[in-house]
Amino acid sequence: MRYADWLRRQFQSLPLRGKITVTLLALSAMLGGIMAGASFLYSRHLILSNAEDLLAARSQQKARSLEIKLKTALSLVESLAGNSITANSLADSEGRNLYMVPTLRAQKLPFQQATLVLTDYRGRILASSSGAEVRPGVHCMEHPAFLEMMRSGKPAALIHAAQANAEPGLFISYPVVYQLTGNIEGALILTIPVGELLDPGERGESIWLTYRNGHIGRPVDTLERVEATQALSLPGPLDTLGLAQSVGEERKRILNKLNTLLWIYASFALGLFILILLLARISANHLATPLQALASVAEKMARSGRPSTYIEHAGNDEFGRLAGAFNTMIEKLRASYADLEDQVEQRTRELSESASRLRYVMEVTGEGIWDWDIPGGRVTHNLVWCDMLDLESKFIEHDIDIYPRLIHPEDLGRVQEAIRVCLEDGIPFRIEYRIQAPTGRALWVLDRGNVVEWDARGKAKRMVGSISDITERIVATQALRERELYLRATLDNLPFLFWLKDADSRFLIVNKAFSDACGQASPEAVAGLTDDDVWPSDLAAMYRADDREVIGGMREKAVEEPVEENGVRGWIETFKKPVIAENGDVLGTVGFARNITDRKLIEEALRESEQRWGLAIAGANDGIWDWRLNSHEVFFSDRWKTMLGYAPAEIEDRFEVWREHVHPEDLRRVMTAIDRHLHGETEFFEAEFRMLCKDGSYNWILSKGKALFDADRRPIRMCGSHSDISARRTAQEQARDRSDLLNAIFTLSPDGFVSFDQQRRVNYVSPAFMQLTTLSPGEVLGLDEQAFARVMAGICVTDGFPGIDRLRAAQVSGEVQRQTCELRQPLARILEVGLRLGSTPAVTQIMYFRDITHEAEVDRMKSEFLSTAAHELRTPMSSIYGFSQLLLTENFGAEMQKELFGIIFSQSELMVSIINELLDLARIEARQGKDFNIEQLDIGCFIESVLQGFKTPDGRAKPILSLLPGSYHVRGDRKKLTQAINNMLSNAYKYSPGGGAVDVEVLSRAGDSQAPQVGIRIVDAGIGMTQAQLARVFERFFRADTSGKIPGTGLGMSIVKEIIELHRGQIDLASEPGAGTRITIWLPMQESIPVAIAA
Amino acid sequence: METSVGRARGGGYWVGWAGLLASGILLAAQAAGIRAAPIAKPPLVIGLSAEYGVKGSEAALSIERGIRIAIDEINQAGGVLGGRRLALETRDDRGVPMRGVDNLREFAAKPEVVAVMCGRFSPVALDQAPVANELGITMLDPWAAADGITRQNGKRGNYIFRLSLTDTWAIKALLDHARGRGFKRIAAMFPNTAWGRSSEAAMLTYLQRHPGLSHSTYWYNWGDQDYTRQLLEAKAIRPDAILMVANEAEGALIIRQLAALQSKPRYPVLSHWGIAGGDLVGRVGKGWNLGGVDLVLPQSFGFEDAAQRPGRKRIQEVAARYRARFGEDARAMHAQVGFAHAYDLTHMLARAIQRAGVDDRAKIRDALEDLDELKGLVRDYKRPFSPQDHEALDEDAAYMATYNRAGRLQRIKVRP
Repeated sequence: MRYADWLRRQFQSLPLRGKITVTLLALSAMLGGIMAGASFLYSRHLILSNAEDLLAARSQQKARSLEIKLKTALSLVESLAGNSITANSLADSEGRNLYMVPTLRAQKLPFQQATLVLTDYRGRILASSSGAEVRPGVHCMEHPAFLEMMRSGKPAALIHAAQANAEPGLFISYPVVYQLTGNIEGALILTIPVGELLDPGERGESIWLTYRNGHIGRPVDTLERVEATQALSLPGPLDTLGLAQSVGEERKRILNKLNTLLWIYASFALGLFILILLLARISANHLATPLQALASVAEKMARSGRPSTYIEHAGNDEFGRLAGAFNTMIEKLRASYADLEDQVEQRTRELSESASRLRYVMEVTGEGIWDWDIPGGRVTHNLVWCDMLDLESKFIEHDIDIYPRLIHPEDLGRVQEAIRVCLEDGIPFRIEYRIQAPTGRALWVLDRGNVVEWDARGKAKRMVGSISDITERIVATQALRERELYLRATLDNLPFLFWLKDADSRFLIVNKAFSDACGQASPEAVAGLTDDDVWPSDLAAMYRADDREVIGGMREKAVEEPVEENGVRGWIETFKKPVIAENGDVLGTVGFARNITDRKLIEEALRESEQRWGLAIAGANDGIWDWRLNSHEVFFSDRWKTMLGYAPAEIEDRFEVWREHVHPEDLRRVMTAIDRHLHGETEFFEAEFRMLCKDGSYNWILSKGKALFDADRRPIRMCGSHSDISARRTAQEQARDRSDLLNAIFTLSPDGFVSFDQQRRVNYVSPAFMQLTTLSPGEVLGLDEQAFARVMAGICVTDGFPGIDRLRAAQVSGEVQRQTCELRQPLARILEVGLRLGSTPAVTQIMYFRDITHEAEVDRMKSEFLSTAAHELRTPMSSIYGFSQLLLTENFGAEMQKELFGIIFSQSELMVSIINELLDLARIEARQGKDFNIEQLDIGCFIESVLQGFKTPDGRAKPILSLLPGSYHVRGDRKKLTQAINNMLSNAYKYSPGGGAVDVEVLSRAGDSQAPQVGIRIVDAGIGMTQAQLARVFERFFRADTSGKIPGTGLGMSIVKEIIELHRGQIDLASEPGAGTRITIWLPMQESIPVAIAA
Repeated sequence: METSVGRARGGGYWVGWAGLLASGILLAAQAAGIRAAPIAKPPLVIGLSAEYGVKGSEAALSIERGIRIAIDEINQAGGVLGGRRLALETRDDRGVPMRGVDNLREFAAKPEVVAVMCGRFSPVALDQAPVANELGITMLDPWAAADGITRQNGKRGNYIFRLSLTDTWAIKALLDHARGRGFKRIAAMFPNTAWGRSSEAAMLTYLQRHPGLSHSTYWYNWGDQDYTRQLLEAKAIRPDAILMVANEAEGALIIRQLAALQSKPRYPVLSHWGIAGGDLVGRVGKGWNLGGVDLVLPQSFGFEDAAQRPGRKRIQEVAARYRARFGEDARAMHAQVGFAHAYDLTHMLARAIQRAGVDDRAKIRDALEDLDELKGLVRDYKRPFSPQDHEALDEDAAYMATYNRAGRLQRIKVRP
């Protein structure tokens, strides 16, 4: 109670604002506490249940991952156990270390520490994937898992608790079956240490495995945990273990997360507290403000002593009434103040009158005067000042800010600095600067001023000064300085040395060239010095002597003297002259000197060349001419004249003489050449032309020359030489004639030629060669013979080009057999190639190419045909030979004999018919229709007669003929056409062994592009032909029947083709296997020929 | 037979020594003239460790029968060492080297076992040989051909004696044959075992001397079922012939797969004699006429060919005894070389025991190196073994044979 009393007292003692604040704070703290407590409890519940869910998910994920690893390991071991190499290694004690240990190690087991061993039928280790060396048969592995496997004959698995010599682990044993016996003769044992099975888990997490007979890795401490267990689903043999994996996490660790939440609550509460505090203060303020306003107005009036302010009030509450009374009191006070203000106005008016008087005085002085009220920032000045600056005179008072705008920017800083010093130290300033009036006029002013009034604290209060226009003076000074500069620049840029000395030989002015020449720093440095100071003593003495001579003699002096500088010889020209005053006194000397080395050198060179020119005229075999273009004067040397058969005196030195002697046909050309040269179009003049000799013949002259031009590029002189080139011209013409002849021969020859020069490089290829090989000259010209051979080999088939060496050897040995080269597709030409050695230096060898493609093709066809024909003839011949031999050596009965003779007869018949047909073919081919007995044939009558004459095979129906209405005529050889149709008919019967009708049809056709034709078509329903056979049907000895059952020579259709083509006809052939063949021959139709002629 | 499972190495070792010691004391007592009661003396045992369990392999049986016929003959003639009978004890090693070694150790642990005969598989014999040398027990090799088997000399001397072909001789016979037929290029297939490597080494040595014959080599694993890859690669080099080192199981598969991959003409197959260890013709299949394959292999003995040999009478007698004891025609027997070799070796062992005069293993070994003339099935031996040479046969013993229409192996004449 006492505490409550104390609290109440404290509360009572608080100001109004404090009371309100405390009440609000207490209320909000109570509400906040309740809410925070509830939400903390709810969060704790959420975190715990969330952790359980998370753990269940993690447990499942970890279980899946372990399952996958175990399954992978199992399948690896299982497949290795079934691999024949494993069984093989059981039988291969000698070699297995080479491959079994690497194989075991190569198994990518998902457990790093897992080991894989191969044991024999008693569990003795034969090979192991672990690093330890294994002595076969020594280490026993009588492990329960192995024994279980051997007992059951199936894979076995076991989890083994810790033993003395081995850490606990999972053992899986797979049997290795020996293919030869079908027995288990060994085992693959996989050992996975427990450590590998147990995932280390996250921090605070513990993982353990349980199995049928126990557990591994379960923590033994007594901490409270949240747990999740997941059974592993594994394939055999691991399924027997009943493995399950558990994941646990400490409760304490989970709830640690709540700490964070507590911190968040604490900081949130603090923030809320501050916010409420602020709010409480604001509302308290709101209540207390009107009272405060009243208090502050009263305080303010008390402070100033003037009734200046009213209190704004609204409403009729306590505050409103208090404010009304206050305002009435202020009104009274204000009335007494009005008298006092009238008196103040009177005094002010008096003051301004006195100021205007001062201004008037200022206007009448000649200088601009200014008066600067420093605290007020205003400047007053007189009218002169305004005129000077082109300002309107009514503005005699300006803001100080106008000044920086009027002063030239370059001078502004300087002026401000001067004024600043004056303001601070009270020293009067005097300064010249430029002013730019608002109208744009620029002027130089001299400004003087000083501080005239200081305030109590020692600060400048007022400054007064005057300003005067000094523009004219400044401009005059500048002009003088410029002239001096021009003089100096002129002197310094003179290309020669210049100096001016007084009468005592003391330098007054020199130019830059001079000071450079004597090694002084600048022309100014030389002024006042003497020759002794700047030149070596011997030179100085000489120069002084010169000066005396010039002054004494009162005359000019010019000298050219050789000098030597740095070992280079040169020439200097010096010119000196006295300087004489108006009254005749000698004031000093003036001099120039210049380097004339280049001029001297040119002069010397010129002299030398003149000498040479003289020598040239005298000694050369060429005639020399020199033509002065202005005067048409010409100089002809003696040789020039004797070249034309004249004595030197016999011919005048005139341009016209030359022109008269030039061959009229050449004159125009030569004049053009001269013209072009004189116009600068050619660098040299050069022309070949004929000139008339004294004896009336013409000599060929080569004239060369060059013109000299003056500075305006006008030709002034032209000189040159004449050479007699008649002999050369004649030889050239002969050579050209000859080469034209050879070119014509080579161009027209169908054989290709390639010639080689002395270095055995290609220097010519004939057009025919290019045509044959499609090579361009650019591809082969200039190549040496081996490179050429490579190019040729490139366009030939492989090994198609014999090579240069072989060709040369063939030529040297006179080999008879000709060399050929075979060009590749698409040219596919066969060329005969040969090499002929030349005897001239220009052509050391010539290679020629002759197109023998056609010949070679004919050769090939011929030999092919011969071999085919021989083969065809040999077949019946061997029958005849064989059977006749039989008949000669053995005794046969009459019946048998007859049969054999029958065979011989029929084979002879076949042979005879082949030979006959071959002869026919040969004759037709050879005579090309010249032996044809051409006559007009009515096709209808002709066909009927052919059919009558045709001997239909036994048991077959006669051909069925269908004719066109009307009568059609062709021109042809009756016998040959009959033969052709007979062959076709006979084929139609032969190739339809199964019977069926043979139709013969007469047709006609005419098209726009072709003459009308008559056709004879024979159709059978026989065995027909395939497309491939169809394509070959006109080949000699081709037979559609390969069984040999159908008799024939294989020449019939070839003969038909030859005959019809010689009649300018065509053959159409259509066939399908099994459906028969349709063959049509087309012959040109004869238009209605009068019967009379036919008869 | 797996009684020694779990017995430590030392145990077997000492038991073996104890047995030897005991028999030594017994013999010493006899020599000292202590007359014991005329009780029936226990027989001397020959141990046979062979591949009975290997499906289709007939060699173990042939060897066993060769030993049995020989033991019968010896026992009928009064046994050895003054009336002690010989007996045979067999164990299955299934062609697994570790089992073979275990069998050998178990035999060696029995004092009555005087010698052990191995089977046809070189990998097994190669693992057994050093153990036999280490344990000091004679090992007789009637078949396994790897050259290295008899070349392993232990501290106590070499206890391994072979009456068989070596890979070197077999490969030489095959390649001589190949050259005789003008082959220039062969594709060779080897198993990935000691036998395969021994054969390859023999081939390479031979080819170094005969560079005219080129080769390419293909390997397979013992027990493989699919040889297509190797055969396709081999086909790609267009060999004149296939050189095949295989047993009947793999050999039959290779021949069948080769035929399936190959159009005519078929490559001639030159095979090591491993395929004769079982019924190759049966395995290749009825639909497949083996008589049509150009298949040759080296042999050292065959009843079918014995008619042309000197001593055909003795052979016919043995054939007759075989028929009497096993009720089968000896000519129809598979793996006849195993039979003949084992038969001859058993007689040699009996001679050696007789010559040693005691059943001491070291003495028997020494006696084997010093035997007299002996007439056997395979040939008449002058002095089968010597300290330097533990091979009873030589390279001339190999001749080329092929399967005739009856599916039996028959000697062929080498074509000119």
